[in-house]
Amino acid sequence: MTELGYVALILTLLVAVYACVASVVGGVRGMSVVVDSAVYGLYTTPLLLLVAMVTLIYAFVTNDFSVRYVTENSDLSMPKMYTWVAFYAGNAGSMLYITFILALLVVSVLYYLRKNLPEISGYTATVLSIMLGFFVFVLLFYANPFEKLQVVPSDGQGINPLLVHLGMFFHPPMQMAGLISVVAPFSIVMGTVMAGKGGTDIWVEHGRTWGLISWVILTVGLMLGAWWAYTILGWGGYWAWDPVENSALMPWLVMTAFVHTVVIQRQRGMFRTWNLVLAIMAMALAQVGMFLNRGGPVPSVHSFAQSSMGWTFLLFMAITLFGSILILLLRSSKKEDNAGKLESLLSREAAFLFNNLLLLAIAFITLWGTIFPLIADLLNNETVSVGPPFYNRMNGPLILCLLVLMAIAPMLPWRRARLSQIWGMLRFPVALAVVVACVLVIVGVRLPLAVASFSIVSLVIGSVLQEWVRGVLVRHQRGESYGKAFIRLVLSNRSRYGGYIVHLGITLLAIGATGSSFYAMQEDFSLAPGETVEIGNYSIRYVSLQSEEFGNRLEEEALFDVTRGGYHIGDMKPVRAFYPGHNVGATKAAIWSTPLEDFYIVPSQFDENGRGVFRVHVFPLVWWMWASVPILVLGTLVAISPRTARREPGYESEMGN
Amino acid sequence: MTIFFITCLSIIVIGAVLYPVVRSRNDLREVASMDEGDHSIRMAVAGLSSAQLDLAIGNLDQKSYDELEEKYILESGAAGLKDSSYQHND
Repeated sequence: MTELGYVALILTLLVAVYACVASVVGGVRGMSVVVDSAVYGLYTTPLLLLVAMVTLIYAFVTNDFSVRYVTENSDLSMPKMYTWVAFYAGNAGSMLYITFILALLVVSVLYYLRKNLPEISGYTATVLSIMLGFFVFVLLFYANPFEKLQVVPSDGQGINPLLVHLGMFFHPPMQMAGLISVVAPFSIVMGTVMAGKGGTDIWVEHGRTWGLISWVILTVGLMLGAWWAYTILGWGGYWAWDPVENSALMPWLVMTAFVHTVVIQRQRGMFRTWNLVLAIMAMALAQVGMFLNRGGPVPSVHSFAQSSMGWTFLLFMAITLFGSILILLLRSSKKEDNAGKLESLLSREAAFLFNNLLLLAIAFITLWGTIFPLIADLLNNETVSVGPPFYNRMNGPLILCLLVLMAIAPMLPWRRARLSQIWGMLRFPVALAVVVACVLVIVGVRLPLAVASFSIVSLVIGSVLQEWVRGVLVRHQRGESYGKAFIRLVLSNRSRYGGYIVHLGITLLAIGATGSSFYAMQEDFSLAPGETVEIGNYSIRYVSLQSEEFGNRLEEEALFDVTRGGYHIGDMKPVRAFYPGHNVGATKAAIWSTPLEDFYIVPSQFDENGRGVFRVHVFPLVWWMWASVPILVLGTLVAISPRTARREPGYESEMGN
Repeated sequence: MTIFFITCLSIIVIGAVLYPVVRSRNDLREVASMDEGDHSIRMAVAGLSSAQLDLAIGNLDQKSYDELEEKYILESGAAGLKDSSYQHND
């Protein structure tokens, strides 16, 4: 059966090569039927890759250990429910998954463009077929998931224990999909440039839509990764500035910049070249991410995907980057570029530009910290690691400035503003921020950075609420009820008001990050069963230890009786498991979570008498970080939801229909 | 069985590649251009609507509004889009 999967991959490569050649030839010679043939060929690639995926999954389900990948990533004791996780646990499977997602993107983008922007769809097909061709080429020649073993073992090596977690069903697929989804806005941009329309705004709305789709997938992937790290890795945190985490953060930051400045291009015709460069940059950083994910030489907790093919990705990234810049230089039109000019530094356009600069600064600081160990190794042959203090010190102030801009930028008028006008708009949010700062100081929150962070967050919330209230009042004056006015307000400019919802989500993220960074408590305890200790308001009694042996692991579950301020809040059961086959230990933290704070127990070791060493944390407000995810998704969905041709009151008489 | 599936996949791929050659191109082109026109009008209406709100709440001055209005009218190709009732709603 695995031959079928392999042939499906070969067919995909043939289709990609054909589509690339046909779309170029058809485009150059003006033969639309040849371009259509290329596009329709690409439409079959999800089916071909689905067949390849099903074939590999079938090999897992039937324990076909003649397939090397199945042997390396599963064993007879693996519960069947983890087949999906095992499928992408190694390089070859994850590559196949990424290629399948890419094929889905290829079809979606081309179908969308042929309906909305047919003049660039042929060129976009060329870009997409090159991308698809590269991934299938790597699959066939560097990471063949269907490679056979000459001697068939009786059992496999088993799945990496760290991946046996609920979060693994969602986080890696989302993260990988996020990285590859950057191809969508990139291909639209490159298609536009290749069509000689890089100096126009025809692509902007579509680029923004696909940029937001990519952004939200990356966001969810990052947050699921943070949740996985928080609950399973057991080091008591959600973000460690690990190279692989950074690899998804960097394109996310550049995509964030992109979805902001395309709005400026749409409204004012500005930043045309800048936006094209941002899309190219996001693609390059996503490829750097894939380089790191594919076993790049930078050490990471994600060491389960080690291989040497990372360098192939780096080479492809260099070709893509320099090729794109070359095409941009050759096809750009100076005459058409940047029709609008920046008239004042006190304008919405300028604020968005500063926002871009900050986001790019954070992205490049992160890039520098990520690749510095590699550079140090290459230049001085010394092992260097760059840890969280570097990133926090460098990026922390920039993130605070970004939050301030998030509050101010949407309030500023286009073109230019007077200081009095700005003050008029910022009075309420600033007053709110000052009140929040005072209240925090009064209740005992006195760390200057924490107070600054919380008050900046309230500045953002105040500005968003003010914008909503102003919009609703204007519509109410036209005779709409408040409820209807609010809904119509959001629907009338989904891009803007969806963005405000996203900004609210970001404030929740900031609340969680601030609380858990500045006010976290941590203590290590060595406890025998029956002993009680206290941390903060909490009192914990270590009741007992239960050990159980499973087919592939020894699991030890500690039972704690926990009270807070004298009130019993329940039993907590942190778990430590040891997998002899992999010589790996894995922990599962016990977390009691409320909007106010998380109480977190993670075991590190036990002796034969049941005495254990535990790390106990109190993370204030971390709950709000997870709560931000649905709000971020909702805001993005509102922002990209299709606009209807509903006429506003006042239009009907003029439009006559 | 494997040979059968491989044959099916090959037929699907060849069929997809050849389909545009054998179908009637004119019909699809007509549909595409209709969709495009409809889309432009939708985009323009939405854009103009949000610009009016900007004008009303002071985020946009009259000059910028006029420019945007011209842009949307040009993009949509619909002269009827112009709406004088908001011109002085500052």
